[in-house]
Amino acid sequence: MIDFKKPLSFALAAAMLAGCGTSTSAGTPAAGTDTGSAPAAENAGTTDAAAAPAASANSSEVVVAFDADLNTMDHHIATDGNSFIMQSMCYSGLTSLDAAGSPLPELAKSWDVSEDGLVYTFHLADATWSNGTPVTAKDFVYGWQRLDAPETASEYAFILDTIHCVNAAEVNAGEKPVEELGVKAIDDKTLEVTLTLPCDFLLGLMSFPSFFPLNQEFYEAQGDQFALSPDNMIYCGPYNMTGWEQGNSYTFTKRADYFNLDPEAAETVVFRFQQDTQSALLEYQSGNIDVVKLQGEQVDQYAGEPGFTNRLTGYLWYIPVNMTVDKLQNLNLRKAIHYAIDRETIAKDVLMDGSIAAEGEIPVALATGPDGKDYRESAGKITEYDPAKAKEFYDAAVKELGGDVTLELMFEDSEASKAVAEYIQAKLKENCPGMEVTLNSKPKKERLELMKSQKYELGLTRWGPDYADPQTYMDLFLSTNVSNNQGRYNSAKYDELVLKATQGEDAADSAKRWADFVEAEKVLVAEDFAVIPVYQNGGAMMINPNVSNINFHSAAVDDYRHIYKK
Amino acid sequence: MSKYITKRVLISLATLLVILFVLFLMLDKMPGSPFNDEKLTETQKALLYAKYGLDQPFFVRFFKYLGAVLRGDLGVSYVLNKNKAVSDLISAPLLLSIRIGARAMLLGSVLGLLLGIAAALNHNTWIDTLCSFISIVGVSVPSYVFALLLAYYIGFVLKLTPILYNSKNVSASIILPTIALAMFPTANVSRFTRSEMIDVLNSEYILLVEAKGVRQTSLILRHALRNTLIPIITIMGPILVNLLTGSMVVEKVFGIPGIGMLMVQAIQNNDYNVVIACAFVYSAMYIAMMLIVDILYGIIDPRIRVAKGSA
Repeated sequence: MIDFKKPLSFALAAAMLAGCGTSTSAGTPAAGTDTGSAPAAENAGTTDAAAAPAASANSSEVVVAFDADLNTMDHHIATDGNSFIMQSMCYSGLTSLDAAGSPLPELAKSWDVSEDGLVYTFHLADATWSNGTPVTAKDFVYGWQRLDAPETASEYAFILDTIHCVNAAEVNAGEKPVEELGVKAIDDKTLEVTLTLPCDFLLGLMSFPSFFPLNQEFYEAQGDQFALSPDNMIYCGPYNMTGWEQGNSYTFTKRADYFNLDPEAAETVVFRFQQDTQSALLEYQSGNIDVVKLQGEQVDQYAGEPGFTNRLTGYLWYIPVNMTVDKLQNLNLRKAIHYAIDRETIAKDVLMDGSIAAEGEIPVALATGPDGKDYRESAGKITEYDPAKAKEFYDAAVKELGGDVTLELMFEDSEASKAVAEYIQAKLKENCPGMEVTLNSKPKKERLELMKSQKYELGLTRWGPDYADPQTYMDLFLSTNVSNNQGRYNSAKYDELVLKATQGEDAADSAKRWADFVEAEKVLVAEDFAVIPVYQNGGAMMINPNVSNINFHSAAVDDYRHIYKK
Repeated sequence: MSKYITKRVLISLATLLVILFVLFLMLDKMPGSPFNDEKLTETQKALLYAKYGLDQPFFVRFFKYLGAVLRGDLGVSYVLNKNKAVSDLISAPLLLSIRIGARAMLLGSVLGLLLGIAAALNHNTWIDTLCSFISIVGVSVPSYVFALLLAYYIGFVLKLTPILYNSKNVSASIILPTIALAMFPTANVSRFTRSEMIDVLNSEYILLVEAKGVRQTSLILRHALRNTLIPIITIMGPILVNLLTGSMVVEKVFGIPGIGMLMVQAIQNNDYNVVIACAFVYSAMYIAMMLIVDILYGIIDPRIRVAKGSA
């Protein structure tokens, strides 16, 4: 593989340069596939045939390659990003997000919020399901109830409690019937959501698939086959799912009868599962794939080429220090680790995929505060690389602990994690002379299990935001959060600040809430050094320069509903 | 002969049962679980375990599973295409993989035989050297590299075939994977054929046949080749294993939704029922191949049939 890669990448680069000069040659094979797929587009109409030969008209088909497969089209069961993206193609929520991530009306044409911020009344637009029945408030009520019902065992049921929906936790725990969940249909077109506490990010979150509606009658008629194939689904979004070939491709065809139709959007969007990005890139060069992710060295190789796109994701990688391990209870040791890690080099030279050094535990571009500024801008940079300080704190720790320290760093067996872990190991040894660091590589699921049961010392893990608010990260380190507080960090000061902001006296005051988060993050990262932020994930990809209108969101589902190709 | 076959079939079935148990046990002891996401709370995990019966003791689960398998129910998937019946999930990938694998095996065997015979008949000439070179390259180049080379030169530069699998054009899009997979069988069969053929051609009975004035083609096909085939059949088992494992890599490169790729994904996701079903299918194919090899042996070499049949 190593011997081979270089001549190939050279050849690829050469081929690519050649391809760029004559853009028509890249366009022709793609146009060929359009006509091939025409029968799949039921409602494509007559324009399709005319569009194929004309290079100037919008192309009818866009092909997007994903390196992970679709897991489920059941939006209450889904947990992975790609499933959410595909569900968002054919289902809609009360709101959708604009390019900047602000909520826009979608299935709800308007809404009122009570003065105390506890009651949201949504007025629904005249949308229909793909079988012709109208989308009603009852569909939302039924969907939310199913999400929360214990027998659904949805991994995302917690999100109802996150928005503080009345009785969400009680219903999910089986203590109250689903009917007592704080969501009611006032009439067919009016939905009322009641909260126990105000929620600043509720409107944006309504675009998240877990909150999408479900048609009770259709759902019940499907029995245990619901959403297992396009025949067992009806849609309330801009596309119908018309092809499902597990492990290969998923086809979405534009609905002519969607109430909020985007005339520009492609007639057909195909999501193609292709794990090996090398061959996916060849298809990209041939014009058969329009969007493809880059991995590892490919990023360096393609950077600067037309179509190269670098987007920042909301995933933050960090090391939760296991506080139940005696030696790690030593503050100076934790400080030494914090200062010994060169995050800039990890992002720029080790990963090289558009990742950036973590400035704190809350990623950049996650959430905008009441002052209109990005959270990170308000909170500032609270991580630091300083070899002198690392050595000083390590020497102090050695004195207190009575000798040199050996630590184990656990990581998952992905290429990126391995490279980062090896780099951290080298830096710790270099900047804390005398420290021994061993590496422990585990498959991801095993790593998660071991870390959740505190069977580790240092572990490289990540968290992806569920909504655009610092709370999605802050909740992780509460002493009461047994599932996610892997290091068993236990600070009364931190708990008090976070709880005050999320459910206490500051919950209704956006400015104070924000200040509490900034303060709490400082306690966690730069006072107690209990969590060591490392980097924020980047995502490099090649996008056909003729393709536009993909909205990438770092804290929400990427939106391909308006994609088109010229 | 029928007694011999019956015995072999019974042994095969018993082996499969043991395999099923071992698979079940290994997955049970494997750390992690299908429901182990960053976001999953303990309560939700317990709910999911209860929903799928994973909270029950090992033997209860095993015998329930075994009972279900005998009824043709392989359970449902926990991760990939969640809640879909595993039998539905694996059937299409399995057929596709078999389609590609069988072609590769056929292509590899025929090519290998031809190369091997050509080399043996032209022993110590440039033809022999060329054939040996092809088989050495075939054995030593990793299938990932070979697959990518094919994708690059034949699919991308020459544009003779599609690069990635396309369900609208299956026959054309499985050409490259078939060639990629056929490389190993070609190389192995040709090496074996060559050395066996050289041995056979130097043996005394061939000398006798030659002395009797039998024509060259008849000598090769009827006398030499038949005796060459016996040892070659023994390597069919290992070749099949290589095809099965090779398919995982080749399917990944060409994006083929086959059983190899499904199994890799299922393992990565701890998707228990899918892993067991795939691994079981792989084992069954291997055992079936061994069975066929044993039976073919009996047909080609009467000495084996008699000896084993009476044992």
